[in-house]
Amino acid sequence: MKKSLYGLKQSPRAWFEKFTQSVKKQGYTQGESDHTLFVKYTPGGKITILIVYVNDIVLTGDDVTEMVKLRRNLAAEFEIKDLGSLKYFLGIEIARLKKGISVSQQKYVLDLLQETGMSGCRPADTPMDPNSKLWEKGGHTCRHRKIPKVSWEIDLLGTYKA
Amino acid sequence: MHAPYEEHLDAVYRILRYLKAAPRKGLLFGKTNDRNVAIFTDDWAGSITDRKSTSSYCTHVWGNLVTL
Repeated sequence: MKKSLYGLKQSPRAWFEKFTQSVKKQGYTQGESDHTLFVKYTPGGKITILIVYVNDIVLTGDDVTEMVKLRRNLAAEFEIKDLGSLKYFLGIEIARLKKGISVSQQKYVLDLLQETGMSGCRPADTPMDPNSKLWEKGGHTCRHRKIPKVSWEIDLLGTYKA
Repeated sequence: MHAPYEEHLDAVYRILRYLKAAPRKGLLFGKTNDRNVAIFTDDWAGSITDRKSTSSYCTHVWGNLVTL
């Protein structure tokens, strides 16, 4: 049993199957369109929500007692690690502010700028030039199509040194 | 994309320059008293040259953007 949960190619499926059974047994309902979403309503109109992505689980809701109970039960059945309040999920940074919850992707953006050689570029206040006419025919055929990445970056350097 | 032109690549560079200006910009899911779902959309078949759709939409739940 242990081997099929952690060591084989079909393990993720077996793990998720076992996880689903465990969570359902604790009174959670599996989402019909998103099967990795589990919801439990508790008396008093409180709600606990759980979503799974591969081996990451996000747990939220307004029923603190239920959340503690679920965490304890899961820890008894699975190898889990509580990472505290949500800070990072699917490459998205999450911050709790007084006015709400903010999500951003700073790391992703910086990596993207690095990858495209744009780390030192001149910043722009808006994402699009209001005068660009992308829909008109007869533009200049893109030189960059299917050109290997290295020459693409050299070309970029040329553009931005000017 | 079936006919990428130099102009399209320039548009992409412009987006990257925008990201450079605000790499931490994101979405705020604020506390609201709004309990509605709101959906906004613009022109359908908006392109006068080929009548292809140029429209977009965005949906808000409880005053916060959820899809775009």
